[in-house]
Amino acid sequence: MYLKSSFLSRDSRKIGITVLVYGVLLILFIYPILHLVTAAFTRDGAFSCGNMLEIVGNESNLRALKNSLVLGIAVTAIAVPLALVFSWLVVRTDLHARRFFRTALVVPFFIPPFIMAFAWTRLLGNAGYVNVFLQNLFQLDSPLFSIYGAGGVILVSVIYTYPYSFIVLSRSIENMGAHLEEAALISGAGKGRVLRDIVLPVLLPSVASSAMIVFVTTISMFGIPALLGTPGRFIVVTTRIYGYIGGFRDPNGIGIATGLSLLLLVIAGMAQSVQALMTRFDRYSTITGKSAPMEPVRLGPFRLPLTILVALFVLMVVFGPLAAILVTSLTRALGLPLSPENMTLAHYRTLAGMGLVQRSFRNSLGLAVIVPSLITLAAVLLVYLRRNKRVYGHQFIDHIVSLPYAVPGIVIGVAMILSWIHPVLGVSIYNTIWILALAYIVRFMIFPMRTIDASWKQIDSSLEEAARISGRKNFGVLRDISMPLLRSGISSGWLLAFMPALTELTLSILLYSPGNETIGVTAFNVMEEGLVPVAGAYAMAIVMIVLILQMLHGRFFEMNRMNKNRKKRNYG
Amino acid sequence: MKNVIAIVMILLAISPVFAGGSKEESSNGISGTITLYTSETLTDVQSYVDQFELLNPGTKVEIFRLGTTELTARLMTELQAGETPADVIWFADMALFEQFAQDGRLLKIQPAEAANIPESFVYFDGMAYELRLIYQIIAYNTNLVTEKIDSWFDLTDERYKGKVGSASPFVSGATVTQVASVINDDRLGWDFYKKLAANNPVVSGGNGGIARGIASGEYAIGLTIDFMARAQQEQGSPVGYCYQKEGAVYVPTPAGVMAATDNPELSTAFINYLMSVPGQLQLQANGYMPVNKNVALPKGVPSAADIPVLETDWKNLAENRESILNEYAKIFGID
Repeated sequence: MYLKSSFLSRDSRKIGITVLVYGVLLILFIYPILHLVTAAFTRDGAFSCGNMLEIVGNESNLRALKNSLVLGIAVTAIAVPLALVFSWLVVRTDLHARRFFRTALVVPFFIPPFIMAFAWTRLLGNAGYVNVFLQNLFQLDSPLFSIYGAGGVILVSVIYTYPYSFIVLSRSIENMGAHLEEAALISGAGKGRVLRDIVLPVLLPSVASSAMIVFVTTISMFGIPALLGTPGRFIVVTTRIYGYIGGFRDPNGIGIATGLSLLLLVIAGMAQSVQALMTRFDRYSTITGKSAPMEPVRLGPFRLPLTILVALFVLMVVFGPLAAILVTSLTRALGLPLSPENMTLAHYRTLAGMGLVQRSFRNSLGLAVIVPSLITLAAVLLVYLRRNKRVYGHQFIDHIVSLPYAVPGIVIGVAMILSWIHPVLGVSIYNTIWILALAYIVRFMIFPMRTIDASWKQIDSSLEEAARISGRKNFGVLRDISMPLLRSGISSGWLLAFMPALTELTLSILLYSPGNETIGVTAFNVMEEGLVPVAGAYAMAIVMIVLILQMLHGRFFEMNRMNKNRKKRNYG
Repeated sequence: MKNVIAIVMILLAISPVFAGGSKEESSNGISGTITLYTSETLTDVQSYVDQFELLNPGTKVEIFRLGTTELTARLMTELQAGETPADVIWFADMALFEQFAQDGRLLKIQPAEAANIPESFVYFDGMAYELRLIYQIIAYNTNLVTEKIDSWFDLTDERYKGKVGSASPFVSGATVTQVASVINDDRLGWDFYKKLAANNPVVSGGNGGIARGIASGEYAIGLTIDFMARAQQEQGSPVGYCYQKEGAVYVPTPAGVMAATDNPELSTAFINYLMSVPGQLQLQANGYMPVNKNVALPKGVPSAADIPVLETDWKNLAENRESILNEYAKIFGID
């Protein structure tokens, strides 16, 4: 809706914006990735395909590649449908205690993966509470379950990743206008038909984007496969990469490791293309500003059984590990029987007395607030520019910002060291807290980009057009129409970046410096000292802080939603 | 929006601000700041550094502490890029120290206290020094193991099938040393590993995880480092350990000064302190076996002369590291 006379200035502005956007992306994202590509194709200081040939010529690497793919597909195929069912139940039905479940189901996402893997060994390991209980019950000689191996890795990975998908999908379902469903129901379609033909297609962008994130998270994850996979002889690509960088002491180790991570990048790129294809042809806008909230679906006779099923899941998957960590943190020493005289609060006192712990909390909280805020703002601008075709090559932006998430943290750590150890453009950030901030920006940018993009796709452009026709300028449209409707996308994007940033381990471990320790690094070091009960107390402290923040965030979000509804009515 | 800006400003204000180096000089003329890269446990290192800084006002030792694997990854990447902040390095990877010594990356130093430690603990003609002795031993959970444990072959006992833990040589430098020692011994050799693999052990992570797993009962028995087993014992966990009768694995943990350091005096003084009586007493208090002949052993710890030790074939390891580790990985199915 622009007048012809403004075309010229708009073109030159578009060039300016493009240069600016790609300049920033070049320094932050492409420059470190280029270091990886260079390292992968260099041997003895010269160009070489030696690393790549060695990768494909090594049976162990190929087996690991196959295992990674199987793991990624299996976890995605379980986690996303699980999240979809949960989201629908807690958002659209009259399930009992659904507000409580909605918060509780997200909790596994807050527990750092390496603490989660440890908690699960305390539950399902050889000497885990569950195995010991069952062994005593049935008088068995050996444990019933083994958490080690492919099964255990898939189980714990699903538990770690389904909340990503749950957060995104529950917000999407909430934002879905009810008019489509109402229309279908009035036309005589059954509930199943509505679900298949209306609800699922409309949710497709969110399903596809969260499936992509779950898949990529799974194949680039190190902590869980290392702790649970390796002992069960289930080796994946990230385990191999870790070996090449640290343990194998291969003279070409870094080159081969970066080569392997390029393979992960290619796989992630393919997953992204599949996602793009799935959502290309249809329009998914459902927020047209013309609908009222819908009555919850009545579950009828299934209400109680379904509530019990969800409650059991929450009990086992959410409270089980938390209880295991809590008990560990209260035991005087590992391996003592659970009896009153072996219980103590001493580990919490030890923890409170450690200056390092306080410093880590301060550093991580600072990083986890600043970074998500910056990247959420950047994501809104980028998606806005892209949506309005204000930048050339807009289709590449998404690919560029998702690249670093597909690579294991330790490899991004290596790339960041190679990129930033020397001053760049006269600025030296190595050995300061800013290299961590930069690494987190690069790593977690994908989250707000995804959620904001997905929720923007749901907003019908007629709303924005209407505002333009009524004389609003671009920024006015963004501020008054798009932003309020995007609140849930912005809010979940911020949260999705905040949580992993708070307890990030694999990047931080290579990039922290004395004085700039983070929560993840300190938890890891406390665990390494063999002070497991103290590490348990530390994990409990992290979980408590995160839960409080989550609640505050929820309050904030509720408030915004009320504002939004008011605005909706004004325009509706 | 104003609130967000205010929050960001506050957070910026509390995030660490870097103070410049202190101008104060200590009585013996050393001053400034150095960075220590180590895989020693953090609270232990902190206790040495605290005491050193107290004895030498105006000095500061920054601690960068990580597991050996991650530490090596960072150090090697930094060196590949051309520089490292590390002045002093101290971790259990003899092979890497040897490579550094050959490449001239380590400084030859002569701390005065070196006169009080046995010559065998001076490495590469003074480029690195041993500061305390640790061994890889067999530890067990006293609730799950009632039999007398004293031999490597207790690990292959069918009673413990599926309940044996061992650190992975791809994570633990000590386990690499173990492999180079076991295959060098006629009584053990690759045959021992084949028998061990048949007992379906859990081969994973570092020695700390194995010690924790033994304490919790996750493993009934396993290979770990002696001081880690002692630490679990002291916390009150049901852990016992033995030095194997065929020989424990002596795990060298060299400390040295990087040739590129800009403060060789302070770096050398720090290593000298660790070898001196006050430093060694601190090490001893943390449960380690001291090397300085003027310092007694911790309570309940046998002297080095009474501990049988397997001979490590360092030359074989240096030349065939990859094939040795591959063979190990194949036997245990972790390739």
